[in-house]
Amino acid sequence: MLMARVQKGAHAAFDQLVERHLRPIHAYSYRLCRSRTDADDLAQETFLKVWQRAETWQAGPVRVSTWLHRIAHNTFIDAWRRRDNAEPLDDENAIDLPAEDGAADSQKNTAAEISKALDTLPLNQRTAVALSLINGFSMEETAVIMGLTPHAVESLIARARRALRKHAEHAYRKESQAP
Amino acid sequence: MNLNTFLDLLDQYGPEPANWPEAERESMLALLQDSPEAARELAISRDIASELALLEHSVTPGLKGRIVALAAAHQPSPFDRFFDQFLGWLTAAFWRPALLSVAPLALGTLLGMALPATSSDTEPSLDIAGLLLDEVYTHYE
Repeated sequence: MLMARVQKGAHAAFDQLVERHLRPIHAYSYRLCRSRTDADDLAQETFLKVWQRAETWQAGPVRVSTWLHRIAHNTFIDAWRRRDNAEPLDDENAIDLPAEDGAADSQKNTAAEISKALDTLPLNQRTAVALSLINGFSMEETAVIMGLTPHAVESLIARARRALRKHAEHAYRKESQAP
Repeated sequence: MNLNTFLDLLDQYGPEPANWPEAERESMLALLQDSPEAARELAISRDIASELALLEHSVTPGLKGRIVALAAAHQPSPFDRFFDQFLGWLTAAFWRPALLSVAPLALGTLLGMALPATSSDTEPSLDIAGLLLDEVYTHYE
């Protein structure tokens, strides 16, 4: 068990843990922060907390990756609450926003286009999509990470899917109207 | 089924028919045969789902080395380790039911110790009643 060795303070085990989980944690951090520098800081803080508080980990039904994402999530939310001009956690009005002009200029609905559309979603919806549809967590695991009920996560994902669909529709329409 | 209901269910359950609720699946599939609009929305949803699943992400070069070096410089103190170990033991799943069942007993004991004894409550009351009765008798005598 890798975590058991990390709990005993084994540097090699911690190195292995970072190697194994840094990419998904950094990807998730990037979805939350929308900035590479902030994502670097968040991932770094997350792993430092893991190292210093490794004793709080208990083997059980929760996977290590779920536990790590929960630490990253809580670390981000703490920092986000301290910010004065924080973006709204879940802005209902943002759901039906049309695609940005820059997005419509694109010739194809590429991954970059989807990524850009994802960044326009309110924080809570973006978080649920990043965990469930990108990082592959189940509804229950996503709920554990976000500290919500599975039903609330389902609702966030449904609203995000609708917003992304409308965004894509808008981009397709622009594309078909282009000369 | 109309298009709006179809879109609501599509957003809720995603583009894979296998994930659609059994009670609605046939109506949704039937609508897909009749409505080009529904088929187009399903195709868009499928595109989005596959693009999301394939989103690539690269970690900033050198970040892993920075994290490992930082951890080496921030070794947790033995006190922190002991405290976290104790906290972990206290909240372990095995102990939770036991702690939960002991909680009412502990609360009752604490309340019992905090409140004054019942006998000392009633005795002064009887004394006051006696004095009042004495006063009434004296008045009528």
